[in-house]
Amino acid sequence: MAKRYGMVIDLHKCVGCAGCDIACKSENNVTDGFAWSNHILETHGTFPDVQFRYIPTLCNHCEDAPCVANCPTTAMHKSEDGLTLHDASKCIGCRACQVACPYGVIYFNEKAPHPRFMEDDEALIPGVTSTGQETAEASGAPIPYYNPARAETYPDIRPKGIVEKCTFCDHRLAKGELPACVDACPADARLFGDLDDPNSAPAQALAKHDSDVLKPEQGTKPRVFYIRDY
Amino acid sequence: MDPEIVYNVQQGFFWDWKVALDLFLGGAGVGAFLVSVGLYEFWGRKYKRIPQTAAFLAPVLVGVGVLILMLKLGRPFHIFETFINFAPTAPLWWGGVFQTLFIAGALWYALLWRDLEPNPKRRKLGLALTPLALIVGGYHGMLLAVIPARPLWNTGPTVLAALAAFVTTGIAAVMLVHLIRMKLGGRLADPEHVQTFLTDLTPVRHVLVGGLILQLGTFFLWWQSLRFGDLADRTALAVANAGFGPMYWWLGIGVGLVLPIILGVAAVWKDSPEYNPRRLVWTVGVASCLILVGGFFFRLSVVLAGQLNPLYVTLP
Repeated sequence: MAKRYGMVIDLHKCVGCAGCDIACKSENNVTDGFAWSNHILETHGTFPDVQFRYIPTLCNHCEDAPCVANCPTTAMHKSEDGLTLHDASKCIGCRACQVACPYGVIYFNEKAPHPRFMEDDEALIPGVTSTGQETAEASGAPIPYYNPARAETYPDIRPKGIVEKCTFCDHRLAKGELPACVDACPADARLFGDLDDPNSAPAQALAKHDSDVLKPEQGTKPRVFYIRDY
Repeated sequence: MDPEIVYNVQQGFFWDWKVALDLFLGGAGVGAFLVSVGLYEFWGRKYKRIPQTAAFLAPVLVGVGVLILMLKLGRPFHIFETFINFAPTAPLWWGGVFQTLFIAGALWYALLWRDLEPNPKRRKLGLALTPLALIVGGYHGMLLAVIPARPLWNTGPTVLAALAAFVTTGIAAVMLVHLIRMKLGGRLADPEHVQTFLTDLTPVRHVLVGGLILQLGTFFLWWQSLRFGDLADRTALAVANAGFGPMYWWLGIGVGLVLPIILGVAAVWKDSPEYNPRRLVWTVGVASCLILVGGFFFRLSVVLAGQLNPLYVTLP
């Protein structure tokens, strides 16, 4: 039976370490300047009455995903498990998904990715330091922090001219593993699982606590929920 | 103190002047096609040269618009993916499929206008393509209007404004190109030809004035719907005004709508006691240029300003 994957982020547990962001970058070979796993820093009030919020963000894998509805080639599509996925081979780089997404979680490769390693052929101090290309070559991979497992369901490194986004680590889910950001969270602030399974961690958390989603007025029905806002 | 929100997402305009130019040329092309069919079929079939100009102009304008849009794509040579996949919820898919059909049909229609003799096949084709032209024209408004994430675009008047704009820019393009054609053919120096041109243009001028006024009305409605809308609407309007207000108000509305209307009224007023065809021709040429310049900057300011809306993402 198809699952209905979703994530719950416990804001009370989240310490704002950005470990999720880094884990995601490493797991998915995400290029400089892109952040499939991202965060909002929000400050209210005036000292001493100040409120600070750290809100982790990622693709919401919306049930009514506007990126899917506006993609002219069905490159953006919904999987059986409710993941919002991107078929890179179909993408024409029209950026309609970016325009339609209210959350700013889709990135477009305007230039070739990972320029620090793939294009850098000038050493900072010639004869002393290595160029980016030499560093990558020494690591035996296109980039030193390369993860070949990413290529199991999506291009390992997305080329110039197409968009890219969080996949809820579908390559890990296929092996029964949790998304990298969930695994990496030192505070166990992220709960991931089948929302239709009442015994799953996110379903139980949602049953116990009131929850919010980002921009509910957009009607996109996000599957990333936030609990215990403070 | 207002909340301070820091959210580092990809910066810059996702859609730029190339999209605006596609919307502008596509709209003008559809307008030109409707001028051709309308002028010949619905006004007694006595006009021939202007519909001929319009017929040739239509596929060129829409085609050039699509080519410019393709330059915007990250992978233009993968455009075939649009045709081998079925994505009816995406306006761009509709645009890709129906614009291609329209360009092919309009090209065929233009070729049937090689001679000015009555041609029943041409007539049938023109009428058959009219609904397709309206779909393509509507698409140019729908493309922006169906995106809730962009409050500036996500309104009913967005579609109405696009429809009115394709009428006015289409007519202006036809008038300007036909004047150039007359000049190149030496017919502009012939008072008889000029007189025929002005007479033939009468119904088009009436539609044009109606279109300009309708466009002003839809802009007012658009402004009203945002000005008195929810917080997101009001924010989008304020940000758009701050970023692209001068382009929109001075070039889009001032140059593209108000000046042509003033010019038209002044020409008719001045010429009432003593008819002056040359001045009218001059007015037609200048007004057409103004409408086209204004039409493009209207599209450009709206496309860019719609993306300026700050990504105010937070929890309720």
